[in-house]
Amino acid sequence: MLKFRVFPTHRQSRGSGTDTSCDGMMFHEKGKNQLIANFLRKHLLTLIFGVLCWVGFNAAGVSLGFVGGELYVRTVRNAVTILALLIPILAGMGLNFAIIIGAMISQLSMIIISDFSIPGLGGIFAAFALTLMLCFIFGHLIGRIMNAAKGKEMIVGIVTGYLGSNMYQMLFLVGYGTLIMPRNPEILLSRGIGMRNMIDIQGYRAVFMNSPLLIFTIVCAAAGFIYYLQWTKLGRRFAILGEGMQTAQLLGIDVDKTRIAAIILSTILAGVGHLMFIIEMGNVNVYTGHLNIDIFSSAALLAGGASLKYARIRHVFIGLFLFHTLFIVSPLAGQNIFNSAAIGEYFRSFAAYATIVLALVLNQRKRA
Amino acid sequence: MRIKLKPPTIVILIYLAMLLAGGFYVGLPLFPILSESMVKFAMNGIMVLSLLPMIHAGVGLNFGMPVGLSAALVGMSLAIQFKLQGGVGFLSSLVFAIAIAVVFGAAYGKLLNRLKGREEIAGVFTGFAFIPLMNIFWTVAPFTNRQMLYPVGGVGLRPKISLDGYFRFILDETLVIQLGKISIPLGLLLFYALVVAVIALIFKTQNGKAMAALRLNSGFARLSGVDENRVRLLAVILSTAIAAVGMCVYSQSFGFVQLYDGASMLTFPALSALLIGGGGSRQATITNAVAGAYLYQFVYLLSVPVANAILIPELAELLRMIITNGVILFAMLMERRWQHA
Amino acid sequence: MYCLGLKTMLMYYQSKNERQMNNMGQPIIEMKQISKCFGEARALDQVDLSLWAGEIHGLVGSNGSGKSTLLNILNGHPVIAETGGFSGEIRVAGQTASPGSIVEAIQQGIGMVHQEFALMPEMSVKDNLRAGYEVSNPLIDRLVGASFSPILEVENRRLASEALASLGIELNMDEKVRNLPVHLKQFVEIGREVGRDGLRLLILDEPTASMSQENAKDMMEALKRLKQKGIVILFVSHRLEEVVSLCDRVTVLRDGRVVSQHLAPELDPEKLALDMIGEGVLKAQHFREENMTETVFLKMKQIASRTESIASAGISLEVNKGEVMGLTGLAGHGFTMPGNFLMGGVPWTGEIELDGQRLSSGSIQEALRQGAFMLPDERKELGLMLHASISENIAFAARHNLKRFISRLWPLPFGLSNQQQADAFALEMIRALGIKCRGPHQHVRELSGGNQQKVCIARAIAMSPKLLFVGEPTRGMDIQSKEMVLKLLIEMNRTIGTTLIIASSELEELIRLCDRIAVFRDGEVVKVFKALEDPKQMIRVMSGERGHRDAH
Repeated sequence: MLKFRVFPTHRQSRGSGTDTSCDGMMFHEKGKNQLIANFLRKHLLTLIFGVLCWVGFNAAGVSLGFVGGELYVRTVRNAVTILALLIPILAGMGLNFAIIIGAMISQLSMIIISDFSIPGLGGIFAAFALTLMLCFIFGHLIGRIMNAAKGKEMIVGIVTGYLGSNMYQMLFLVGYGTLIMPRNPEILLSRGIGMRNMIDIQGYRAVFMNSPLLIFTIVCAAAGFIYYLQWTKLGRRFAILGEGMQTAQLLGIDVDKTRIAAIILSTILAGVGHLMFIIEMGNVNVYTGHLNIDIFSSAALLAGGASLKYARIRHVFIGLFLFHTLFIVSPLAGQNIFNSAAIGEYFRSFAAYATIVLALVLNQRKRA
Repeated sequence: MRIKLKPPTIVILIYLAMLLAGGFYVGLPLFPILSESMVKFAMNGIMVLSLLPMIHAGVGLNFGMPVGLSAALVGMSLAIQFKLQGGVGFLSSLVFAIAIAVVFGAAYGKLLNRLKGREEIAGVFTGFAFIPLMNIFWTVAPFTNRQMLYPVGGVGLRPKISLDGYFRFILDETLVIQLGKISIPLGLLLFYALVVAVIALIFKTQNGKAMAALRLNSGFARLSGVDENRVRLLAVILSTAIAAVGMCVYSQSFGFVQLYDGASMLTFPALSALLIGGGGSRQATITNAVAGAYLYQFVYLLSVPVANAILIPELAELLRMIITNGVILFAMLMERRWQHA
Repeated sequence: MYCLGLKTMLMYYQSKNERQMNNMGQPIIEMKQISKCFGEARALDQVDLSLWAGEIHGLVGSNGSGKSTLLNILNGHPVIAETGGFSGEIRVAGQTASPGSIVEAIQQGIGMVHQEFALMPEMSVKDNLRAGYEVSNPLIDRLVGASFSPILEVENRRLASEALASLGIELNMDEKVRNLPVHLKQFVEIGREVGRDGLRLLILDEPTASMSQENAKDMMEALKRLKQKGIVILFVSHRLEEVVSLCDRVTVLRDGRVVSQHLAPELDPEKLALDMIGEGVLKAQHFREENMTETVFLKMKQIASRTESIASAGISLEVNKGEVMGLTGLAGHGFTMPGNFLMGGVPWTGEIELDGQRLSSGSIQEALRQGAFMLPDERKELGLMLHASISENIAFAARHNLKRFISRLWPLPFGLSNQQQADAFALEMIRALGIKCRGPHQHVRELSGGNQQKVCIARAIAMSPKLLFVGEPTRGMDIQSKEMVLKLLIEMNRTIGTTLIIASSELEELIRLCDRIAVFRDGEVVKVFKALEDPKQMIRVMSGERGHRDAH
């Protein structure tokens, strides 16, 4: 029997076939400088965010304890939503900007449940159940939309999110009071048509924040589920899909169905994640609460070291730490450096958008 | 020639018919709306035209339009800072705006050349990123004209700078002709026609033809000696500069220079207008841009009084947004099918 | 005489074939009357092919002979269904079974190993080997659904290494596939197909295309092991010496038809090559007077691709001014590469001198400035703007490079394209070349292949180049158009003195037209012939053994 030990070897073959393995082959030929350059490129975003956080933290002049406390709150609010982005990346669909629809669904569910005034933990569970159900349905729909525009999932996700947002606003602004009559008329605008801007759910917040075990369980369950997924057949199919749709098709994998499954799971996680966000906030910003959730979650994940093709659970938590530290300290830093908190806020928005542009550029270089 | 209407155009025509019917029912003042529609058309139409060079060169829909719009905002701010009024003010705004747009456009174009095939998503986020970046600029830039700064408290420029006394309505009020009950803003329309003529001429030059070749078959163009990156860059700069001109025209009609997030609200409507006119991300003519711009604005103008009449004033704006985003999404989903047709 | 002898021999093979097959009972795979059209082009025409248990069946043919279409049909590739399906019947083990999708093909026991590797480079060897059919516990499958059932890693690993062991190799199961050398990747892919239950037919598309000779030998050993297990192997290759040493039977396709079948041990690379090229080549007569001068116009020295690290000496070639040079070889041996290096923007290493001027790598503009022009072999993909008018196609390159068809309009500082001039020139060309069309504004996509090629030639005429590269000038045309196109090319050479380089797999046409013919093998020029030399010699060089090289 022939035994092959696999070392990076030079290519000895000739002919006109293309070699897809150049990266690996050439690796040992690269000098130390190349290795460092490679490392820098791979972790560029993380390093930039690290430096920004350090500078911002010093400039803001806040205590570690303050940042730590804020970070805990933000972990509760955002961790699961960022986790929702992992599966579509694994499946080669890039950043799923349509998670914003999951966020809208969770707001809708919470409003319905609080309108039915199901109290306490029961109400919270009911909201979760309703969110799961609606996210499954809408996730399927979004998956089909994305299948109709393969290769353009990200931009389609954004536009789908916008359109969904418009319809959602239409539902609350025009639908409530005309087609849908809430049990509690107090939540309507004084003219009788349209929902008020803010719905109070402090009751649920008190219950929820008093059961840290529940919070811990949900975050762990979400992360654990994604971790477990990679050992399953479905997870393996996502991974195969992530390496190229053509290859997956040649292996006899139902590409369309698998992609829809990825989007459904992502939408569900987003819905669950955002539900935690609004419960923690203690009120639902009916018309604006969900906006930018997609962008900030994506930027956080990328800051944690993920790319458009590769993302792991650790990137979620590193990203959460870095991006939200920046978020916490930047207005204060802006105030202290430029005498304007607004500049800090502009800067963090810029950081979020620019992160995604930079990720696109880095990803393209890898493809070339 | 047989005219083939695409679904977005058909949908908007049906919506228009419904609005007209509703309009007659609530007793709509049609003539003022017709007059108004011409102003709105030219005011927004140049931004729609600005999409053409990039589409012509196969770069796709310019989702990064805020780059050009921001250039115009800087240009106009400079003109106000120097207290240039009237025609001089407007002309110098245009010159400043175009000069800055060339610089911005070159950087933006270089970025898009690195991201071939993903121009649209890259454009969206470049545009988004540009706005907070410019916001920082508005906050720290050393402008000194009192009319531009926050009156009390606050640092930097105010969000809405009035053009009263500068070049407000400078085109709108030039050569206005009364035709019965309709007034036609001829000066504004002539300026619009000038931009159309410039675009048409550019498309006839050697570089314009090279752009078309890149869109039709980039491999063919490269083998025929076209420098792909250079021509694409040229197209992006052109689109950015025309968008800047469009923003200057928009602001003089609007009466204010809207800084900060003002530049972010205009991109999607312009894209949607082009698609309504029958254009697409791979193929769009001047006719598409003109017809689409007019239809889009006319429909919106009609919908406002109708929505007010049924006591939900937000409805007009909501429907406009749904149509805007719906049309763009629909065009993306149908793109492949249309290409084969 | 040779021709007659060959035919008799073929008839002998075929009858012997059938005699032998009759003794073996039923074929595993039987294809009857398979025809397939892409639009108007007929890719396969009534192909019959039977594959018998325990045979390695070779399939050879030049580019465009219909090989890949046949493989796609067998493999249930979606491209077939998308383009309107095919006609004919496929029987697997006696039962009618036309695979409509890849999943169906897999279910029927048809596995395919792809030329461009259907592998996941970032995944481990083990995961690649079981990709798409991982083992899980059936009980847990029922409990949580097959999708969410965990993969049994230990069992998978065992099955994966068993599959590799059946090929006679052993690999580190946890290595990422991207780190494997190219021949081991191929083994992984074969192992993946072999590991499936009920594999009947294994299709290999150019498995050795980028392998060294030793590695190719290992591969062939492995295939012989599989054959003993009763799996039918369909082996597609341009490397005739490998086909000859491995296969039990070889089918030659040409222009979508089966032209001959050959049986071991009487396989001969030369005869296979002759069948691929067509016997007409033996009758071809060189018909034109030489026009070439002694001055070297184009000189290529050890040109190789910069991006692909291929261990070959590179292409060295000299073309004289006014010459008509032919480049040929079997498909996949790189005879169209000189054009791609000089005019296609493919970065290269080595030295190119054109008209006494050194060129730099990858610059199309530089070559254009030196008066070179290329009509690429991928006519529809690169040679034409299908969705533009005839006039625009003809005028474009000349307008862009020579500033023809441009006029100034006062007071504009730049020139504008002059549509009248372009149309007038297009009309002139339409008349002179006999392009069948409604007028200069008709879109090129509506023309037939022959007329499209004439539009290409009109493009070249508008450029009046000093050097013209033409790739496969007559592919996909009817006889009359072919003759017309060849005549036009020669006209250009005669009247404006254009040096012509024609890369073509139609050896017959080259013999008739060219002053000299360079024969390529494995990406190098092996020998340059005078057109009057014996065609048999050329075929021998084309199909010759690897490693052994004739002196220049």
